[in-house]
Amino acid sequence: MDSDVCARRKIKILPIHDIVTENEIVRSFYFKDNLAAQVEPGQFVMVWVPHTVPPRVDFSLPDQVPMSVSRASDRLFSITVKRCGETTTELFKYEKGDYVGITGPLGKGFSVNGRHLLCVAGGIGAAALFFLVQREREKDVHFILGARTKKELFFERELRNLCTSLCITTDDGLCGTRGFASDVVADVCETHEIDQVMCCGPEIMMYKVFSVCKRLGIPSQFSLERYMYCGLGICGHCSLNGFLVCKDGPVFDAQELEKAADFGMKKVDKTGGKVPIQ
Amino acid sequence: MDISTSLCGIPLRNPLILASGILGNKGALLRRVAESGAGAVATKSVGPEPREGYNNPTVLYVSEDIVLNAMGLPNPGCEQFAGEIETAKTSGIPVIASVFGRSQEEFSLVAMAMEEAGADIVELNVSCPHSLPRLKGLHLGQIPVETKGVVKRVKQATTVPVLVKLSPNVTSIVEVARACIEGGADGLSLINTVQALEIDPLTERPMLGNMVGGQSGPSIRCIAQRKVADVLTAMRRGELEAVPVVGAGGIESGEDVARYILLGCQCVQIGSAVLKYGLDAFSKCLKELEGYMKEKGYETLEDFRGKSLEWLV
Ligand SMILES: Cc1cc2nc3c(=O)[nH]c(=O)nc-3n(C[C@H](O)[C@H](O)[C@H](O)COP(=O)(O)OP(=O)(O)OC[C@H]3O[C@@H](n4cnc5c(N)ncnc54)[C@H](O)[C@@H]3O)c2cc1C
Ligand SMILES: Cc1cc2nc3c(=O)[nH]c(=O)nc-3n(C[C@H](O)[C@H](O)[C@H](O)COP(=O)(O)O)c2cc1C
Ligand code: FES
Repeated sequence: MDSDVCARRKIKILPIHDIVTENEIVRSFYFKDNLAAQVEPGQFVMVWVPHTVPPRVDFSLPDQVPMSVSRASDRLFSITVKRCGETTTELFKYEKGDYVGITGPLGKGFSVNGRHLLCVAGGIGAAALFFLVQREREKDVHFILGARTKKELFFERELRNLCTSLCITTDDGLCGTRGFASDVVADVCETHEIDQVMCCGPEIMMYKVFSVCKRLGIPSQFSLERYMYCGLGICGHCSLNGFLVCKDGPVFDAQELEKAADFGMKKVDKTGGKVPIQ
Repeated sequence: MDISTSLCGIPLRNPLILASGILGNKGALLRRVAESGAGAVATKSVGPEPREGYNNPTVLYVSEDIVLNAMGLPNPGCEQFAGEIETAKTSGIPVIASVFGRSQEEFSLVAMAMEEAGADIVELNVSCPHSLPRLKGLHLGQIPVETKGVVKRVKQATTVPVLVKLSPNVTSIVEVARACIEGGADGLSLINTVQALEIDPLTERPMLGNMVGGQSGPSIRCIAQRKVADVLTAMRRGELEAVPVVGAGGIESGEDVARYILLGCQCVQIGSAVLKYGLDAFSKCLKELEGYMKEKGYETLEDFRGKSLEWLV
């Protein structure tokens, strides 16, 4: 077996090289490792937040979660994390030099075919697409960045420099256009003669973008999330109608999602039972 | 060449069975495994109620040959799982429902639900915690008398063949096998994972979310072969009633499959190899098995089944 492929599946313990605060609830964590040279936009890593104080047999501790890679150059890569529950809150307590377990790069990323690209990001979905934009500098890249409020926006300055156009949407309209990122997709596509759409964000938003692209006949790709145990394609927990999100995805073509009846409708909870997507 | 076989009277197009816990929590995935060439598929172990798994990391790829897992038996409960069996059945190959519970009642309840949903065979995963407080820390499968009770109860409640999946973490696997057969088991599958632990030297702590877990992959193959041989020699010597044995542990090539058949196994289960080879694990093993048989001039599995056992009885 290829030693490189083997190395990707093992947890590597890496010290945090640097931490950058992107906004109140989003931080980027940098690591130095040659994983940076292998990773493609849209791929992810499993991040083990080891919580090094021994628990008194409390097994409900911070664990290991999937995170997209948000930047990568020669030997340095970053993940960009939104603080939400236990694991991410624990990670936010970590400082430079603290150890984190990284496994990857995992999964299948974006594959760019078009010349005039549109990236549609909702919330933390901007992390994966930010990496794509950096890799596709020579292309004509347009970006729709959606967030709930102005306070939750991040990468705005960087994206303004990198992209041909940047359209910001917020739910309350206090910054950019009022509404969801999906609302402006059709307009941007027509104005800029977009020939491929890449999307990452809440699934309801992605489903709307999927429908718009279908109507306009524009090829599109979507980065999906499902609860992951192994992240390695063996437990089967991240399934989406016969696809494994951790292995066949997380990025899927619209044609593949066409066959996935649960896309935008149902996900799998920690037990493996199907629950509706809100 | 004919590599078809049968298990407890149920015909199989080949002897490769997907091991329980590998991609087996959804019918659509089991169908994909069937399409990739497996002779039968086993589901993830299913219990009476929805149950969340342990915290991650739940699966560790320690090295190419060592896989550790402590999943914690996540499953949506037998009621919701019934639909997955129905989907898996549309693949046309036999579906083995892996079942667990904390008591005889729970085991039989789940087994009945799985039979009703269309499972062709039920496999009892007795490597699960026992509900009785005095047996805390022990797995049901580590107590022969308890195991026998469970098998008996399930046999009374179902009509499909019942396999028992044996744990290697016992003093005498032959004694547990005996208890299962006395309880009425139609066959045995072995082995489940070997108790294991991994420590990370930098963070100085156990790496699995559950701290401890079970080992699988090529590193356990020779251990499994010994356990399988112990049970099959006892059968060959007449010390144990003969029932079909399904071998499992570290299989990732056609030669590995041949090794278990040479020991006398009826079929084999493939688990961790899916991590390394994806779904190609099945077509790879099949092709290699056929290559082996061609080279040796064998026409059927019967031509070499149990040949190596002769050395051990
Ligand atoms: C492929 C992929 C890429 C991702 N990329 C990023 C990223 O770049 N930045 C980012 O901030 N977040 C990303 N996420 C989401 C991130 O994994 C969750 O936010 C994180 O797991 C939350 O954990 P928690 O314990 O802090 O929160 P919790 O309160 O435990 O959970 C909050 C949410 O995260 C989900 N979640 C928890 N554990 C897992 C798990 N093991 N697998 C999948 N989902 C889980 C829960 O279902 C819930 O919806 C990604 C998820 C996937 C599947
Ligand atoms: C991730 C994982 C999950 C497993 N889950 C189960 C399970 O739910 N029930 C069960 O009986 N065995 C389970 N097993 C054990 C396997 O079915 C098999 O007996 C063992 O892994 C040895 O075979 P292998 O080396 O080919 O993997 C699991 C194994 C792995 C690696
Ligand atoms: S998370 Fe285990 S197969 Fe995808």
